[in-house]
Amino acid sequence: MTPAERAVCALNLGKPDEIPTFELEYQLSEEMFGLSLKDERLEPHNIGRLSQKEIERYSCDLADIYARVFGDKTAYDIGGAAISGNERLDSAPGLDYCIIPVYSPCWGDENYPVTKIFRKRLREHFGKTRLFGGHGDGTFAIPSGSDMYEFIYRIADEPDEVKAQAKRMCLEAIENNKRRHEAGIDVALLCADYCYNSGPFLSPAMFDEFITPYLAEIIEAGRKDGMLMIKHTDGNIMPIIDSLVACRPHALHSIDPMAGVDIREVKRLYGDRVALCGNVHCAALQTGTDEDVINSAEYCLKYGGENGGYIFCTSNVPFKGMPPERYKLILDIWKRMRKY
Amino acid sequence: MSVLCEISELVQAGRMKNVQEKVAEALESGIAAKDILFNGLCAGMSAVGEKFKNNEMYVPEVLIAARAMQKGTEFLKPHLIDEGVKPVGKAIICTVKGDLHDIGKNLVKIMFEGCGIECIDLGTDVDGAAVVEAVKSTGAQIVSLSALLTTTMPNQAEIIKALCEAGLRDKVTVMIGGAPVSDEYAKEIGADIYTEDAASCADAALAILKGE
Repeated sequence: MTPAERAVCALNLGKPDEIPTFELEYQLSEEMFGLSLKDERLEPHNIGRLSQKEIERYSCDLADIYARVFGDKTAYDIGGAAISGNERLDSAPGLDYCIIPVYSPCWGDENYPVTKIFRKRLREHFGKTRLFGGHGDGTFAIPSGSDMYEFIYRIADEPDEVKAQAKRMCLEAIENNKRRHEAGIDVALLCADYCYNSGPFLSPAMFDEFITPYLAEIIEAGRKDGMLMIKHTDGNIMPIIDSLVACRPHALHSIDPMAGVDIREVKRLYGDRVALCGNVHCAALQTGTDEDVINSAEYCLKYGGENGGYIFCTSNVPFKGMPPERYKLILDIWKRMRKY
Repeated sequence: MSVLCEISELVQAGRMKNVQEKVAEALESGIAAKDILFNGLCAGMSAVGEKFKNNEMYVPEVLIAARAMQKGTEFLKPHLIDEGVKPVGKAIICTVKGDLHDIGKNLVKIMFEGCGIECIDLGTDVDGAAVVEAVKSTGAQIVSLSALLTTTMPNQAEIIKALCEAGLRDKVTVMIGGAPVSDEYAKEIGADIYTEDAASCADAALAILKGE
């Protein structure tokens, strides 16, 4: 099976030949590969200064970097001569993700000068062996700073207006996801955070009033268009997990062990209805012992991976500041235990 | 139901207009402002804190209740001054350097004020020098430090170090909290108390200030 086939199988609750892996975002490319996944020259505020030839060259170079970071040897050999010569990279295998997170904000904008070139080159590298993922949520996340007070007071004082706003956001997300899907994004990563370690931000009743109907609508529309829908939230989801599962995402992501969420228990209770991604302890990766990290990764592969329906990943993302050797350690464990 | 119980119930339900009306009614009936504050408004927030701790209430409900309490307290303030009512104690609160998360800190502030503790809120991204300066200028007995990230929790230790270097460590009780923080970590960095939620933090602070 290809990594893409493994992901599709797992997200549909099947048991592939191997447990696949991916991350919502990958922030260690410079530390692990000496390569950046963002080329400032191609960003909207700079692109006007480039000639067409430069745009083409930089877009292809960026796609080549994606291939080398996220692919395996097979994937970046396709680009062959054009991208060899980086010793650090040549000695480090790619991550072999089944879903490649695409950061370009212009992926779905056909008129943006980079889009078609970058996408074509990426497809040349990967063909259909990988899925591409892009952010696609349109529900209220936990607000921050003074926005939180404003949001909460609006919920108390003008609930109907908040619901009207939720509907507008939902329709916009559906439209954006449709456009991105047509442009080649296979997986919508729905990343609005709803929970703290202690539990949900909104009470379960409020959640069902202001989030659930709109999340369900976004997921339903994505499914109808043939997208795979992964719902991420940090924190302790247990008080709202019934509502989350009822929205019918293909998978729940994070399954946050720092919030006490146990993948074995979630699998037992909901494993027949929703696939799971994550649960490798990010705090252990940052500050724990090697033994803590190994235990967490092995636990996830053993209990999350049981009978399929699981994609191996951290409980958040490999963020800047995480020791790269720790992330490499869990990938080594994954390689050792991934075969069914 | 007594008027003080009614005030407490209205605070818990977040009914700010009714809280203000009831406080006025209580004052008119001759109840001391101090009693209204501690046995009406603070009692309501204390119940909110307890329910929050037991996951019976959630952040929005706590903040809506806090808004109601605030309204009542504002109305009561001139009467409290007339009666010479003093806060139970003073606490400095902040989120540490490099960390911009403020919800945990804000909840602690709400719970502290709900107990009658005066809060000096230094905001987010705060270093040791600012905390040392605030302790010197306010004479606060408690320093409460929040960190939400594994990358910023070491800055709680840095602030404790700054307090030691300024010769203030013995004058304050240092409390720490935040998602990645633990009791074990508190001991490791020399903090006095770790609590896992805002309501427990206020309970512990109140006990310290009352000498329990």
